[in-house]
Amino acid sequence: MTASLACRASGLCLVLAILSGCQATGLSKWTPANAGAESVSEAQSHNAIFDGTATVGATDTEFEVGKNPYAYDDIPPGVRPAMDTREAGLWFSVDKVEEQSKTAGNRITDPELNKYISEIVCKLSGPYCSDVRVYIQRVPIFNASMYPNGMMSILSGFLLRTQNEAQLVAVLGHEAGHYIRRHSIQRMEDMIAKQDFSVIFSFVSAGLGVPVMSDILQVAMLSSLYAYGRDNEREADLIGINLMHKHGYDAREAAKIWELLLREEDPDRDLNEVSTSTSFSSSHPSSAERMQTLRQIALKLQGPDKWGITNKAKFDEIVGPWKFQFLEDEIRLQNWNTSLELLNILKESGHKKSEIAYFQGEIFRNRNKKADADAEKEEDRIADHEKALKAYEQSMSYANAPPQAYRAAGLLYLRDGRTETAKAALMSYLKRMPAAPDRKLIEYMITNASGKIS
Amino acid sequence: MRRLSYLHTFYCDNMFFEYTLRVFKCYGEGGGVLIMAIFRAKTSRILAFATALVCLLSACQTTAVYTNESLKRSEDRVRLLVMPMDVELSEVSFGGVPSIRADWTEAASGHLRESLAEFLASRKVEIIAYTPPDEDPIITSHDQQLVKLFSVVGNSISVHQYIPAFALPSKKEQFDWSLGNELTVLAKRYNADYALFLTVKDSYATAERAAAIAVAAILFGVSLQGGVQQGASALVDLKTGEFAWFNQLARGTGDVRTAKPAKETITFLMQEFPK
Repeated sequence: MTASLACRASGLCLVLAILSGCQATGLSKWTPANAGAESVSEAQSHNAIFDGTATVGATDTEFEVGKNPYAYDDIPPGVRPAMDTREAGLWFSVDKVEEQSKTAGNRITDPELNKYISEIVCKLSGPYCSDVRVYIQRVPIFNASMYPNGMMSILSGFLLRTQNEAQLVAVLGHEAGHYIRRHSIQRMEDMIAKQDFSVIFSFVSAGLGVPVMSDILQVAMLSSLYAYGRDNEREADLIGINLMHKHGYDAREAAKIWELLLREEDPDRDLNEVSTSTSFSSSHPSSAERMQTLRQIALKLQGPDKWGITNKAKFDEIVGPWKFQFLEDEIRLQNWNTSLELLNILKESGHKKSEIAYFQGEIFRNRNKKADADAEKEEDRIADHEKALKAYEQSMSYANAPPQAYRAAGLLYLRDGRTETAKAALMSYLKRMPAAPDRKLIEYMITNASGKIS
Repeated sequence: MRRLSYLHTFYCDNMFFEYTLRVFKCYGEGGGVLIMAIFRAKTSRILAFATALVCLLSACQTTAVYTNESLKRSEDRVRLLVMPMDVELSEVSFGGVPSIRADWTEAASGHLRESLAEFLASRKVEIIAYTPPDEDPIITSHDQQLVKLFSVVGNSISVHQYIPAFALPSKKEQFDWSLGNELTVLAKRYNADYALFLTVKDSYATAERAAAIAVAAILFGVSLQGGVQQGASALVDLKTGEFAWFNQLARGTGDVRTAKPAKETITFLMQEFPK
């Protein structure tokens, strides 16, 4: 009988029992993931190879700069939680999410990109290599996330904003840190415990006739839940930068990510003046706080003259070609100003100038389209039209211009009534992109182009 | 007292939505509106208590929808492809936070499978268990897309067929939902006539939670969320992709953790299954 009021025990007695503070969790039970996996004891000894220290409890004292990231003993490598634990249930539900992600339409399955990123994740995960699986998704948002069962989701919006392998490692190491420290189940346990307490508190305050007390508690509890989550993020940041250091990457790049993100949000602000304070309902510490903390840690780890590598060349070779597609997705978000600043940042880090110019054109052209509806913005519209055309022309001045720049310019020339120039540009587009999906349409436009199209 | 239910809805937005939807499904629009009103703590203590009792203790009767009372048979028996069940059992903590229990889920899947086999055996139906195609990523992916499609269409049926407020004008007279003709792939591969999809989501209050529910109800007249059993079953014609039969349940009773009550859940879910 589910949730029957005629339940297994006398209600009041149990509530009193809980009030007196008895609570049981079955967290420390582990079983090997499968028959072929190493046994728990072997896994633990494997773990011990990395530093040989004894068990360390989950306390704040572990916030240690330079601590061996593989020396936490929250979860032994190669194991799944025992079936009768809350954690097994959590894994069960995310196993389902993972099953769906495998065949998700937005998953990027390109073998080369997956191999490159998976190998980095494997290296960072050390003894946990076989426990972590990478899924790259085409989503234009700056994020990556770790699921409790070892599924790591990496979004294309993050890859777009990453400038080198060291920056990639800073975030992937952060995610690996969540797994190594079992943050998901910790947060869940924290939430359950706090919710339990709040119910007891509500009973008591309602019983005493001061129900408003429980409202105050609710705010405090929410705040505490978020604070707990932020502490997890801070710890993951630390594990991430410790992993960077361990594998010889330039630790300064971790802070760089947040610096660039802040700049993208508001290009004009002074980064030394940014407030590091965090709203009580933030899931993560503020970007400014993360930037400053990571800068200090980097100095402690490697400064001032023992900086590691960034592996930019390899990164650009593998991830670079994907950025065109990721930028197309980015522009569809219609965040014109941040996208323009993102292009500036990409340009500084050496992204192809022809592509930067093309996407600047795309931003002006699309913004222009939006402004069309508003007659008062006629002046802006004309300005954007001119800017777009100029940007496309600049793009086309490079030998490696994307074919799409010719198409876009061609269409704008048509609007201006410059038929012959338009035809030439559209023909260049087709010549440079023989398999163009819109070939028929463009051919029709070339044949029928005469006079001004509005 | 009012604070308690306020607190409850405040924290469990999702659960509250599901709960309300369940009441909508069970008791129709009136019930849903009533529950929403109570959960917003605008009614009296006695009414809240009474409704809580009704919700928690009564089984909710649903009726199956189908196109035909009997199955189309190519031969003597109907060949039925049984898709993997989607089962999920969770435990509601003292504070009302649900967490999935893997061990219960595993046991329940076994019980439900056995009860289903027993039920179908009495119906002259030949069961073909769905086995994933061997490691072929394209076929596996295609099959998974079909399962995803089913869950989307199944949810739509659940909402638009069972909740009067969301009834679709085009579906008033006929039950004509379809998964399209892609399913013929499964018909050919398994030489099957129909596919059966079945899902059961069940949650159980811990002893502490049950106590909290009792205390809240008796002392403060407030209804706290306990366990809920939800399920759906559907029969799809593999030759045409059309839904031949659909049934669902949502109630505050039932238990699939052990064999005997699991059988009762299957009987409930397979009500009015075509002959």
